[in-house]
Amino acid sequence: MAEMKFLINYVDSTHIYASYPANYIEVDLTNDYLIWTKGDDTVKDLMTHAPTPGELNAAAQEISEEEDIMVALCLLMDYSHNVGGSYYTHKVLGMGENKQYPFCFSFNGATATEPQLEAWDDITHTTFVKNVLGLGVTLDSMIKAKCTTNTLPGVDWPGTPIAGGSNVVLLNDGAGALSGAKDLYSNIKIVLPEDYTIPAVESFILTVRYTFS
Amino acid sequence: MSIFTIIFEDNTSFEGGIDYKNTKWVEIPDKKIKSIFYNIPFGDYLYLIGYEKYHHIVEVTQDLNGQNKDKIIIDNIRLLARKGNKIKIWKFNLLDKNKLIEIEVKNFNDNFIQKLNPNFWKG
Repeated sequence: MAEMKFLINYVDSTHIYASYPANYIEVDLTNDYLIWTKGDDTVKDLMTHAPTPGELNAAAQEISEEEDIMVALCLLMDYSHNVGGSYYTHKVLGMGENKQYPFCFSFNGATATEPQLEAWDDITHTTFVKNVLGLGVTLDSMIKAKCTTNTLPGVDWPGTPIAGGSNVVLLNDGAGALSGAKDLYSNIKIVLPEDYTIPAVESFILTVRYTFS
Repeated sequence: MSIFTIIFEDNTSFEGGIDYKNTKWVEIPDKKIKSIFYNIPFGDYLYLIGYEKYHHIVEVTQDLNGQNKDKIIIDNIRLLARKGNKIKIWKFNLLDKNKLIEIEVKNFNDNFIQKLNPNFWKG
């Protein structure tokens, strides 16, 4: 069966994993997680302790009354804190920018269909009714993703609002199943709509759906 | 019990694996298939004969947030059988026994079919 590793680029998001593996951290899918935040003097790159709920709340991204606003920072919370020193957080470089390689999905073999990125409320993968997922309206999802396996996402890329099983991003650029081992890439961001009326702290699940024979 | 047993036109046979994460589908010899005996999840079986080609798909999800400690969750299994331009698909839902089996028919030029891995068609 094909297996997938999820990696984030913390050094230079213009470099691919195959050529610059040291630029990437493999995400421990049991213990690590992503933090989407505005950030502040405490919640930032290279923290020396795991951020507390209170610290995360204080560093939350504010909603703007004038314009849509992108959540400024994506941090990997690294449970093992053993990369480059004893750091619990690492900034995902290039997140939301015109960068091709911030998030990597590395497959070690062929798949039967094309892998896809999805977003759901929780691990049951049955609903997408949280604010960040558009309250059940897929096109209103604040999570925007773009497949960057073959190309840059573009300046101010709008991305696909991902929510549920129908609004997804195909990670092989629509080219179909993988014929062998391959690294796929995506850029992902969260955009808060202008003057959104419901402040919230929410978790959600990013999922990769893939197949083998 | 193996997931499937294949009988070839030369009357030799091939046993599939016992684990959906190692079905041995890709190891099926490149020979003409006469029939497939396929064990359906949770009991019962399918016996398929008279089709030209077969495909098998194990669909999984892998959450990126770390709350699913098993990491890889098998969502459903599909067995596809081609006769002419028609593809019959049996979908076995492993997460919801109330929707255990769905059957649909697609044309060979359907986008989903065209983007399947061609190397996994057998027969």
